[in-house]
Amino acid sequence: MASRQFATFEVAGQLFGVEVHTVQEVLSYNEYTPVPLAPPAVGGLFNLRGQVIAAVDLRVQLGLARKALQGPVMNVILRGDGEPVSLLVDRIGEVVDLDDETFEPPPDTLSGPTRELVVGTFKLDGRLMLALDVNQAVDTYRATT
Amino acid sequence: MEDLGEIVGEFLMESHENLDQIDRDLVDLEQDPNSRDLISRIFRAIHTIKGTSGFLAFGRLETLAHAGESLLSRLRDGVQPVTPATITTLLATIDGVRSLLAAIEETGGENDVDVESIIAQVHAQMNAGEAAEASPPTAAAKAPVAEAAETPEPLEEMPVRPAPEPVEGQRRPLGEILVEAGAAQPSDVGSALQQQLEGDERKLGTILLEEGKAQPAAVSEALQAQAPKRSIADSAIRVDVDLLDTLMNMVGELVLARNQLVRGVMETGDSALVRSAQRLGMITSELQEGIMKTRMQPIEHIWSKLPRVVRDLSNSLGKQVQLVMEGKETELDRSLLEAVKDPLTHLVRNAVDHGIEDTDKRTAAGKPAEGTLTLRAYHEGGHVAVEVADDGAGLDVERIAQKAVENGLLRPEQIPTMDRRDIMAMVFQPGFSTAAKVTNVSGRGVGMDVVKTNIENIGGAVSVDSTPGEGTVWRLTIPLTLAIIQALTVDCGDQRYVVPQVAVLELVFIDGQSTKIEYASGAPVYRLRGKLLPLVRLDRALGLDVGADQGVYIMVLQADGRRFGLVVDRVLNTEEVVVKALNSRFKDIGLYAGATILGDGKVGLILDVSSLARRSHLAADAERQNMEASARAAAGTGTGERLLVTAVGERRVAIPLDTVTRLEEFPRERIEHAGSREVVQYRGQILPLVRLSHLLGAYGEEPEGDTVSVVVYSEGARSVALVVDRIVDIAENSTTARRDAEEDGLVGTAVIQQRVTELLDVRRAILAADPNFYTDLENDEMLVEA
Repeated sequence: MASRQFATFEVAGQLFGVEVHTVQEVLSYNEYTPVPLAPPAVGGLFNLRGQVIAAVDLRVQLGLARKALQGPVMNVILRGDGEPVSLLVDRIGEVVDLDDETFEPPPDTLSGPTRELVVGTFKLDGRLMLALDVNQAVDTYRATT
Repeated sequence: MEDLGEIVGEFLMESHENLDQIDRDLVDLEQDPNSRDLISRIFRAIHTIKGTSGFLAFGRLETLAHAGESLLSRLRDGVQPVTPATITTLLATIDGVRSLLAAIEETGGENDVDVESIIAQVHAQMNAGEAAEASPPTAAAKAPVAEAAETPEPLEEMPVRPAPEPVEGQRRPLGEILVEAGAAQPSDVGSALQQQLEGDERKLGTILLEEGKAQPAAVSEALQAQAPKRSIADSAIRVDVDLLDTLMNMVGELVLARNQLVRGVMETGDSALVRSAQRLGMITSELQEGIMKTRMQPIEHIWSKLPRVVRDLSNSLGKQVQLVMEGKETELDRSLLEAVKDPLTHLVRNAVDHGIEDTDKRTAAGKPAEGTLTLRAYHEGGHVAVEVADDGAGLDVERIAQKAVENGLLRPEQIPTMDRRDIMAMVFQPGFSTAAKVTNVSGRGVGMDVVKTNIENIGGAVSVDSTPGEGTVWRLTIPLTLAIIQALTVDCGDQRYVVPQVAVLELVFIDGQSTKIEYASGAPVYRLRGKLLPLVRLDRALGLDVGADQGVYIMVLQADGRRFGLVVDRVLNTEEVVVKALNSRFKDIGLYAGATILGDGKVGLILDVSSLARRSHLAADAERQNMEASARAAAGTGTGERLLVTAVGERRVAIPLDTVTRLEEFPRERIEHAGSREVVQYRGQILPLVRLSHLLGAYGEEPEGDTVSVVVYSEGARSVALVVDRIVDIAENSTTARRDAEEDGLVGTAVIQQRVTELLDVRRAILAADPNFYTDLENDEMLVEA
């Protein structure tokens, strides 16, 4: 039985997941440099061991209000295409092994910005996890264009 | 490429280097056909290629190299003279070798690169030489004058057997060193050399020693003196550029980590820790400098291909052009060299094609038939200037103006008021060409704009100046390195931004009373020495809340030929920052040139000054008028010396801006004591401080605050810092109300900005900080001269 590992995290009470191999690391960070005039989904820039990383506010990508960047915020840093990109999330969940048979395409009732970011639904014990399309999730021009 | 052995890879790399050298040497040889050194060097290089290619079983390459070698050996032995035709043949041979090497690099094999025709050409040359050989070279040597007309003079010396070639072409002969040191008699050295020529296989030193003509100590000393020349080759290793880039990045990180650590340690106040941190700081600075040096290469690297370019092009155009290179040892960061290479080649081709006239025209104009193209490189204030100068007809300003009007770039009424240089700069506009005929070299209207774009992409600038009938100078100004820039950090709102210092002309503090922001129907302006300076509010440009008009700073910036003032809340300090590329998603915003990590570990955005100017809707016409106005102003009142006005106690003290190297703020606790003097560690140096308040006897309340403002003055490697209470402004000293000083340490007083200001005797102030400042400098200079 084919199974895949997902790193999970919560945004606005919903559980999301990305495949583990796309994740570089997870860390909490305090200070973000805002980028005026950048697309709204850009939460800011931060210094990851000397590397400048853009943090993408997943809430904005999901069509919600900006996340207030006060105090520590959790980052899921994705390897990205050529350079790492971070997703700002509310809370980090576990890494889960999921069988392919628990997978289903997104329900037809799911609409709006979330629909474009999600590739499918995994049925976990007691709750649903939405698997994110990593490329869509970090595309900060998606919401504005 | 993957399945190529390491040996082949090394062979390719080495051969490419050798070929470039051969190219240069061949062109030199054409100028100096009797140079035995050059022939030997070329011969050796080709011989090496032949040998290695034979060993690696590249048969065609070996055959070709062998043919070239045969022709060269005839030149070397004086059997055949060096003529432009032989040089052309040899250059063709080198090109053949190049294409073979390229084929090997791409496919691992020699493929069907055509070598036969080249070999045939070489043989034709040798046969031509054979024909000319009718008059035996020995006879020619005896009667060179008689034969000179037909057969260029053969090499002067015709030894019985070729003299042993020095191991490295550049080594000084041992005999010469010995004679110079007085350790051997010229006659003894001469007879020893004669013995060698007659077949003695011993080395020169050995002969002299065994015959008791020199002391062993002297010989070994001379050998050592000879050695350094050789050690350059021996002690150098090849390093992968990627590795250097990685190291450079890591050192950049180290500098940042150092800055954070030093800051943290200073706060703890633990003296042992502070010392360690300071030591770490100095080592880091040195390391940074060292790594930067490894990436520096002399500009000769990219110039080396140009003699060939000029030769081929001038031959095909039937022109005579002499190429002169000045300052080829000037060093630039590798990545910048790469970026400069194509623009420079384009400028050179353009100069040969359009700059320098035909021989007939030149003669008619009373100029030497041979045109001169001068490449010049030199350091200038943190930049490297590279000039391409020709002595041709110069740019036709009227034609350019006419063309600019035709293309709709200028309006006819603008022309009369425009500066010549501004009109000439139109040639950098896309699609602009004034060439009467389009050649395959240039004149198609592509090129100059690309030159400009490429140079501006690396933070440089291009300009052109020309005198009719005397020639044109194209000038590239290039930053020393890309990775680390001098920058000013500024505050705007609650964020910190970084402005590259190259763009900053001066800073003005707006107190709202004596200096204020005014509005010309809504557009903010500032009267800078009587001229209106358009202002851009950074907060507005960034779409932030717009702040007050008082208690802010104006940074007078220049970019893209526009001058404007950027209004920021606070100017903090100058810092060296490591530039990090920004993701393309932010490049599109067009306001940021990059990002950097600030001293506190946060990310800071580096502002893109030229796009800030563009974005902020500085109307081009208004701006041009402004520039004209300031140009006229500069022409009119340009005599006024610019002064840095500082506050010392209750007094205003002015320092000529020319003598100011930098303005800095130091935390008070960084001031240390060395003997009775105050010093501060600064960029790996110990910087002596002098308090102007003490020097001028203006004792009073020490200003409060955790930092001191200093004016740094540097000359050569030495610096001193003058401590002032506050930097007030930069002003132009155009007043006539001036009185000579009665007080020590001053040269006089003047009225500047309606206030009495004292003019500092800078030399005296510097001597108070460092009594040896000038004497050491003079000594250093004498050492250099000696």
